[in-house]
Amino acid sequence: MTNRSLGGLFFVGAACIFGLLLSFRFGSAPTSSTLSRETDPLSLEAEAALQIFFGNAREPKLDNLETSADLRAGAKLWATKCMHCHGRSGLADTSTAAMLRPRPRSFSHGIVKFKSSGFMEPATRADLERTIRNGIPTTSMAGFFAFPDSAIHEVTAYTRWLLIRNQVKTEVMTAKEKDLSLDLVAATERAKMRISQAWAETKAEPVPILRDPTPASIARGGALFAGEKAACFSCHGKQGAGNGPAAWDSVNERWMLRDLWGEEVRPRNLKDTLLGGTAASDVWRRIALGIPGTPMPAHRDRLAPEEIEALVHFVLSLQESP
Amino acid sequence: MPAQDHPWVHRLAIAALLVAILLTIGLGGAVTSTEVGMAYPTWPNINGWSLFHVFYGEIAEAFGAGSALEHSHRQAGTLMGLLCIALALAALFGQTPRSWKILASACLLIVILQGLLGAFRVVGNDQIMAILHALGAQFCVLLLTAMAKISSPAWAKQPQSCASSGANGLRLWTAMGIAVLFLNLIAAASLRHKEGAFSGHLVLALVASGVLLWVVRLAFTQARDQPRIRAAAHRLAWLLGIQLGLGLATWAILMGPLLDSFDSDRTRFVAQACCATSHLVVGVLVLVQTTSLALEARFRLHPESSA
Repeated sequence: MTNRSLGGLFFVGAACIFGLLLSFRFGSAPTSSTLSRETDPLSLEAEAALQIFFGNAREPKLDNLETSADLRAGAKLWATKCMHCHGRSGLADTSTAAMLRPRPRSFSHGIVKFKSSGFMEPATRADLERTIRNGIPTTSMAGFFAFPDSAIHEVTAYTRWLLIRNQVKTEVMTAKEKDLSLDLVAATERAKMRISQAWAETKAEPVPILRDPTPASIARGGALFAGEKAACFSCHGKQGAGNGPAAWDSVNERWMLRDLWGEEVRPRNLKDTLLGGTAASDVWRRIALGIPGTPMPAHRDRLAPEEIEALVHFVLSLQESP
Repeated sequence: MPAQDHPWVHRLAIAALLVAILLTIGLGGAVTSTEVGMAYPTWPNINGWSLFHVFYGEIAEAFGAGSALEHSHRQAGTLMGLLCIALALAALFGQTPRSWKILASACLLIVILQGLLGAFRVVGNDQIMAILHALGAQFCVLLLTAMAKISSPAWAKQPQSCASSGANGLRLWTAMGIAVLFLNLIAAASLRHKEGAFSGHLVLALVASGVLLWVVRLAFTQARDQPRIRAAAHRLAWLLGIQLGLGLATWAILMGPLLDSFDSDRTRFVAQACCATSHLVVGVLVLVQTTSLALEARFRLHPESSA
């Protein structure tokens, strides 16, 4: 090998090492401090007000709810792991999101579907961590179970920040549209204090001790399912296949229900994997506490505890049927 | 026995190579470009639907276009696996040279490993596995290129080996070219899957381009009496030019001056995905051509002093 070749090899080798070292600087910080690309005057005014109380994507703040260090680390994780589906501002307005069904969750109203708190209450921190860690089966929300606890903690912090921020934004923008003289900064501050407090104080609803299913309880649940009182069949169908008359227009072959974000709703086929979990306690929560943002109501105030228990038994029996 | 007595080995190798480049890697690249690699984090079935379900409209209707795209990539991988099984059987049970048997077996093993890497990537939600999966695909292409080349009747018809003053140089620098291409692939995969720094990919792309241009120069100046090598170098030069152009376009659209020049997010998204995927596929063709040239230099040339 000539000296010239050796020199060339050395140069190429050194350049390759340099290039590899450069490329292994992973996980860039959010490239922009702004979250919104909207340009209408109201949105810009709202964003300016939000920035005063929430900071921005690079330096988020949430006062006593989450630490700045967790939020900054969470922002980096969000940019690399979550943003392509949930969007920079948590509104799931990406083109990737449009290619997935069900569509990734938009945080526009601060609503989380699968949680342990009451229907109108914010999700608990544990609810968010659970969803992030375990994912949601049969959807594109994969679990991040291989992540260290610290990473889950940090991305949960940032997710909460986005949820609260978006909930405040939606509320003040709605109020401003009704009353153009509204002081947005003051309204944002008031909304932030109230909503942050609600998020801080929310807690899981206790699940009653559920008895083991019996043929009698399953039959009772089936009767409630198909009856007018609970009227589950109207969306989920008589066989629980998710094609009830209120949901599926068999004449025009289209789904009729919509969720809060305007997306088509397909009531769950109760013989398939349940999105919110298949444990009895999970099924109880979905029936008793409902699924906010969707047509699935909370039944706790309409049905007696033993009726809800019977429905849980019936749904679990559908899960076990072929 | 001469290659013309085993046409099916060559045909299967070519088929597997085409499926690998155009379908498996092309669709896989599109999956990554549109960021739907985790569209359904189950494997191998799609949320209970069979891997062999071919009604993509139904899948798109149920789970979205992203799921249909990911599903088609998995099916292309399955097709590759079947072709590699057939290739291995044809090579192992035919009266073929030992090198063919080894290469065909290696192709099959790598394809199986690729399937497992894909599974781990999805089930484990692991981006390091995604990078390894990307590298494994390129390594598979390298092996299939070699298999297709040495099993071709044209290869068998060539004179055994010609003396050339440029033999050592070409052997050395084509091998270096392949090595640098793989290092560049690591940087590119890191950029796509783990938000690695673009500067690393840029540096390695420039190094790879420099090495390959040197290879082209050597081929034209020191192997000018080898028409096959000159033709291969000519193709490599063209592919390299196209690849650099696509790289520039991809950079411009993804993070450069053209990023904000689209009238809608959807148009931008489609343009970005098309550019990035084309850049990836042409990159594979560059690897194929470099591998082909390396084989010509290794087995069809020898240094003049060792005639």
